[in-house]
Amino acid sequence: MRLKKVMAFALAGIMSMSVVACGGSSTTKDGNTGGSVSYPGTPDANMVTVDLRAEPPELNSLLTTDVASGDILREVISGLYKLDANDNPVPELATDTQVSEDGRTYTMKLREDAKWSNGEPVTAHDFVFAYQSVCDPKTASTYAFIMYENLENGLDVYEGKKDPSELGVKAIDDYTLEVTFTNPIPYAKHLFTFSTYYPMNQKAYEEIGADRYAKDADKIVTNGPYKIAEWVHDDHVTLEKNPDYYNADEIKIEKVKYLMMKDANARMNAFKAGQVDGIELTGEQIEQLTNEGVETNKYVDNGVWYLQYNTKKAGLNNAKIRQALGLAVDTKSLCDNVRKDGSVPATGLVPTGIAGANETKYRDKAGDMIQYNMEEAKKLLEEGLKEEGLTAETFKISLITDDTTVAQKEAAFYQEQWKQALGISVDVKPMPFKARLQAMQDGDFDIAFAGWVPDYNDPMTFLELFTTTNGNNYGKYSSEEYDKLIKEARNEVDVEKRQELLIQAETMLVKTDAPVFPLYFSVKPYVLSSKVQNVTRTGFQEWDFTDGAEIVTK
Amino acid sequence: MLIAKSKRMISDFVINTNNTDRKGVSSLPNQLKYILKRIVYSLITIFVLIAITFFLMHRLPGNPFTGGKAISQETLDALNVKYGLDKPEIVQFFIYLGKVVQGDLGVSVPDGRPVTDIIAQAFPVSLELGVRALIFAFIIGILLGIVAAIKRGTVWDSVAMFLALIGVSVPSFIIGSLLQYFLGLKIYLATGTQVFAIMGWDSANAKILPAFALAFGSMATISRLMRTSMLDVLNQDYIKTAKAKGLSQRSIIWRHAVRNAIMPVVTVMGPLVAAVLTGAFVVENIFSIPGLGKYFVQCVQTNNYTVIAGTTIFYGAFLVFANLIVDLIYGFIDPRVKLTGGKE
Amino acid sequence: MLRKKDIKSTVEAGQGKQYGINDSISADEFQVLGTDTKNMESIVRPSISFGRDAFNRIKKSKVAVLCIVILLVLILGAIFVPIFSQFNYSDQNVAYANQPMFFKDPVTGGIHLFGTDELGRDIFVRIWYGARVSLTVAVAVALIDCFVGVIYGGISGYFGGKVDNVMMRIVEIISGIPYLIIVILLMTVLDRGIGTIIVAYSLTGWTGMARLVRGQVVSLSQQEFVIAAKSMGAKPSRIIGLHLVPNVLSVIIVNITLDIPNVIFTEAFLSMLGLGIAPPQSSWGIMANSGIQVFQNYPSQLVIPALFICVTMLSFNLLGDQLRDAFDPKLRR
Repeated sequence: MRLKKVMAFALAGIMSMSVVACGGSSTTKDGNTGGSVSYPGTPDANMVTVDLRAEPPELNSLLTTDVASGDILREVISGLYKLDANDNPVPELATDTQVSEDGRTYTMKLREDAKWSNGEPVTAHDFVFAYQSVCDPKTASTYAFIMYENLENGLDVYEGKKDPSELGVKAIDDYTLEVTFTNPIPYAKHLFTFSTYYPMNQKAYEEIGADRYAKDADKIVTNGPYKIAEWVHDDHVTLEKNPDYYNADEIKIEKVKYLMMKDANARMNAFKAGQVDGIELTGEQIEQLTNEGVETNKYVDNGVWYLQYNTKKAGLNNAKIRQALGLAVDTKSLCDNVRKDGSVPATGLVPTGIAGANETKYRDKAGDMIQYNMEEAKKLLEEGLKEEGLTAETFKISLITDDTTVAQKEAAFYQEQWKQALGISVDVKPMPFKARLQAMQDGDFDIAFAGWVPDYNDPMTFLELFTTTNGNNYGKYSSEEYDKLIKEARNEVDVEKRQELLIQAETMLVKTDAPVFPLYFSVKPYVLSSKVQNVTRTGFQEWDFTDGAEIVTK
Repeated sequence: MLIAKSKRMISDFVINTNNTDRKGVSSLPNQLKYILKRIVYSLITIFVLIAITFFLMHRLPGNPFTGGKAISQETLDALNVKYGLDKPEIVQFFIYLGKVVQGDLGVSVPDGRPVTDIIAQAFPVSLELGVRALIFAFIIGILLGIVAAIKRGTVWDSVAMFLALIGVSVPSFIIGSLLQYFLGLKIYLATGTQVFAIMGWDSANAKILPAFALAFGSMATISRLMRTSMLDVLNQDYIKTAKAKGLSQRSIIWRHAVRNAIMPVVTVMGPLVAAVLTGAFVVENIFSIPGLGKYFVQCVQTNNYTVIAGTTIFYGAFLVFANLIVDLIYGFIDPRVKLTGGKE
Repeated sequence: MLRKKDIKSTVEAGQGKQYGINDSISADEFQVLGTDTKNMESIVRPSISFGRDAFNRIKKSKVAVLCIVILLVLILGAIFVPIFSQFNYSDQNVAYANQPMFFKDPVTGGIHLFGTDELGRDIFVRIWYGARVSLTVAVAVALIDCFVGVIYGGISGYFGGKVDNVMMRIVEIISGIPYLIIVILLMTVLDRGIGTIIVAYSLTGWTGMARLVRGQVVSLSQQEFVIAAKSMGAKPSRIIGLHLVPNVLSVIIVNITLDIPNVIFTEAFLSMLGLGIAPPQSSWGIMANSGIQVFQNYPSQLVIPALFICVTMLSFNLLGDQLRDAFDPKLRR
């Protein structure tokens, strides 16, 4: 349950190389290449140095939204649950959880030996304070929705119609917490691992002041496996093992240092020169390392990149034309020859790593829904254009995209595919990230090349985007039938039936109506030095050192 | 532009020297008046800069809170109130202006850090990098210029000037990447010792390559300027006199020629500082140096408007005053230059 | 001012070689020409126009000629190579991406002289197409800078006084604004395209030229030769046409030559920030930037555009230096 979307796009671009790649399980060493050669990494025997690529912009758990901050927070704050190496939620502070029969109320006993770094004990009141603060509009938390849409009375409290004390969270006693949701939520334990659901020490928060909280290493209190020892903004963050952590014996790495490197060549050079132990790779860098015989890894980051159509534009209001444009892109060639990082052609909207009913993966059940088919694309386009009274010459559209090197390269690829396969010329308009989003919000676009990373580990985080009223439904797609399917799925208690409804909705979305055409599922390729082992890297945990990661000394 | 400007300054300088005997040394009140005038113009420049930056920022598409996820109107309203963006633009401008006067450049919106804190932390790093680069540039540039002038028309001259031309002809991002790869990584892989660190700013061996990469362009400008200026001076009567007196070549060059020839080079300090600052945008990124340039580029790419505006104003003010100070210092160290005007 | 003696001695000197030292000169070898009252005042050496003089000197400089040849080749290449090449700058074949130099295309049988890029596009054509974009932008910006600068500086210098004062203060303020920062802001606000790039670059770039022209006009009008011409009753049109224009022109031409490489540099730098021209078009900056991402694997993709940038910059810079020397009246012989 990690909200990565906001920065994910920006980062993808900035880093100009943040990549994506292909399916595999969620543990570390899955898709590997090559063999025995390896780089030794940094010389310090007690410290691991990895690249975070960018400054974590917000370490205040009430406000945070991005991947980099999530990486740090996960190491320094203990929530009710944490994710294990396979992205399954396991108890952290919650020692005993009782779920009510209607599946809405969770009563949890809390561990009594947890302490904040200012010496205060971690109690149920810390959770109540945090949840009420998030649902207070004055806090202006961007991700408040993930709380108020789910907790009982959440929206009323957020809109000021009800008192914060009526929010669905209560401290029965110091170490017993009761959380009540509006609906039964199959992914509730996943929510509890998410940073918006972390506790907050009221005393420290008020002493430091909301404006200043978590802006520097000495302005944050933590209760997790690590504490922040040093934070030089825009350069590095160093974490140190927290000796008071209840499970300190299981934490084997004394110090973790996160660097913020922006240049892909610099990352690679620093890795080879032993200045960093773990970096992300570009497609070319994978080739280079593979040629040297160095083993590289990748993990599924659960991102999906797609073409979003403005369904209000002439021509694009026709589902056949929308489908034709998508089907004409040779996504396999894109992944193999252009991206080269292990990304896989999308077979639907929901990526392969997302959980389905009863410990399965949703994608396995939903199956392949779309595939590159140039002949079909030509046929559909011809029919569609005829229906709309257009020709390939009069059909004038443009594609908006981020102005990063990678996004522009891919846009050029789509542009050429459309020209070759369909004979239509599409203008590419690269824009800064925010300008692109604003154009999409204003409906001032024809086709947008965009991506989405999940907020929580459930297909719903992707499928809800295309309901009529969703704020992210930039293409103004509106289907009563689709809205109905999603609503039914929300209220369905039986997880298998719910999954069926979601599959129906997804089929309708990508096969029939095509307001969006998924292109590829992304993966993140990376390389580690031979010094570190068992580091967890998954779609929901970009870096994690608390599941048995260790330094190997030779 | 840089080169053209510096050349022009020399010609101003020459014209001014020709005129001084008529006017005599300028009096103190004149100097004060000139300084005051320059300061007033500088302040106006900064005001215009603030206005342009502010209004351009507000023309940019999207708002500071635009993110990958649509935010509800309620949240957006709350954010606007929190950051004072709910008021009319012109009111916001005067509030902003008032704050800038008090030294408050606002807060960075995604992370809530005051822009002044960011500058206070990042600028010293950039400054150190810049000063190191300028020192490199001056020492090497001036030496190249002197060699080229003394050995005019020989191979030495050609080699020195060719080096200088390479300097102005290769973009710094290429130089930086190549230095990092060949001097940083390749030397390490070949010898096993880290002669030059690849990234960071926390060790002495990390500071050499970036400073050198940044110095490259300026070095070229300085050496060309120095050569011209030296040739000019070497033709002057007092050098001939010195020769006639039988002074040694070495003494003539170092005690008479170089001292005088350096003067015009000092005048390009202002433009050079500007070139080094903007060059730092690239070099800091390549070498992962936590300076203001890296931060600025990152903010341009993430549309962090308050930081872009704050940094722009800071850079602008810094350059304006750097130019002012260079001009004033130049006026004081060289009495032949009148401070009362004409220049520019 | 009359220097009859001089004239006479010139005649003697000119013809003296035909006579022995002791030969006597008879009077009938001389012819009375009468007094040319009309041209008596005029003392001029054989008139070589300013332009011709400069041209002659440029012709003598091997470096300058070489630079001009290189630049001509670049310009002609930029115009014709994309027209006549068998490859199109935007045609992709990703199956043959990142191929080395002199790669024979298995589909068309053509040779990719400089290999192919990450999308399998022919680098040779893209380089020349990029030359179009980079050179067009550079030349257009330099010309706009020159046009605005000359008019602005000319007016300021010509009128002098209060007008001059106000106009120069405005220039001072505009040039105080960091150039690159404004360009970045504008590129972020406006749509991408050659037009935008040109506007953004030239918005503050003209101030340098304006100052230069104004300074020239002011200082020239106080120079002795102008004063002399005035005192001899030369009309303003003659002063402007014969004295001011050629002198200012040289400064302008030199400055344009030195301005162009700066614009090429800026374009390359902005492309690195993602603020360059939109795909599928190419420019040298775009190509150098994507080359730098892969240079450890495919060095030629960086070396080629970098070489083109460097050679162009070198040529313009050297040519500018040579022109400055050629135009410098002090070096005139």
